[in-house]
Amino acid sequence: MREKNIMLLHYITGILILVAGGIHLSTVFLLSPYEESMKFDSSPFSVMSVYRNVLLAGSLEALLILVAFHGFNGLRVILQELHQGRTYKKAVSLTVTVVALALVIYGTRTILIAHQLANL
Amino acid sequence: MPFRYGLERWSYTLQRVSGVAITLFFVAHIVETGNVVGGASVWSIPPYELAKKVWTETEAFLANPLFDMGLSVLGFLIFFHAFNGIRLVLAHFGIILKKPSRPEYPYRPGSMSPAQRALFWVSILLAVAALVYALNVFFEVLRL
Repeated sequence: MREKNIMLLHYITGILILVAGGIHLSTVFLLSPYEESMKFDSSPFSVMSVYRNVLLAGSLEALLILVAFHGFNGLRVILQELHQGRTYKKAVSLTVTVVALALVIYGTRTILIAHQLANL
Repeated sequence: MPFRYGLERWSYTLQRVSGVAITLFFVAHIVETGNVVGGASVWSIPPYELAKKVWTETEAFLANPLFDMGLSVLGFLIFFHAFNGIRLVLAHFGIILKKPSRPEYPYRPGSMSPAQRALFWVSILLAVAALVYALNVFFEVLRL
């Protein structure tokens, strides 16, 4: 992908994280007291209650993908500014892509399992 | 320490430091939440009671002043990064840029318009608000 399109995607994911991250922070801090949100189950915005709700679990999945892209693309930009070179650039891009993908897969597993666990 | 940074250099440094810090937290957060549902070795649904046990133990382990302080600072960094990021996106598309002008004495750098300076301080203000809010949640300093 061309650099200008990657940066456009960086900005778009940044804006979308404002929404998805806002939902995540709201369920933890604003919609119920922090102590209630930190309970495993049995309060309206406890961990399991959030994962039980398809929309809230979906917003967590969106947040996962958005932050994985935005964070690791940011890391790539920083690393590619520190040092230049064709091999280095390729190595950074590859590493960052692999780590981000691994995190998305592992995080998606967490969300899918937690969603099914909450609906047992 | 580079104390003679201009405002834009501080903004640049803070944006990058906060970005890296948030990404590191993100990695730790994904690993930590993954552990609750069985960790990397279990790829099926674990017993409900086991997940509850791991969650409760993790909560107890992390409920200490050092970690709460870290989360509060992270709140500052997230809010700064988010709202300074809005400024950067606007600037990138030329919405709040200063008009080009002739270099005139005393040659003040014109790289940040008044609107951009204001937005930088707004993001600092919101970040401080997030920090105070988080400190109040974790340490009940204000007793609201």
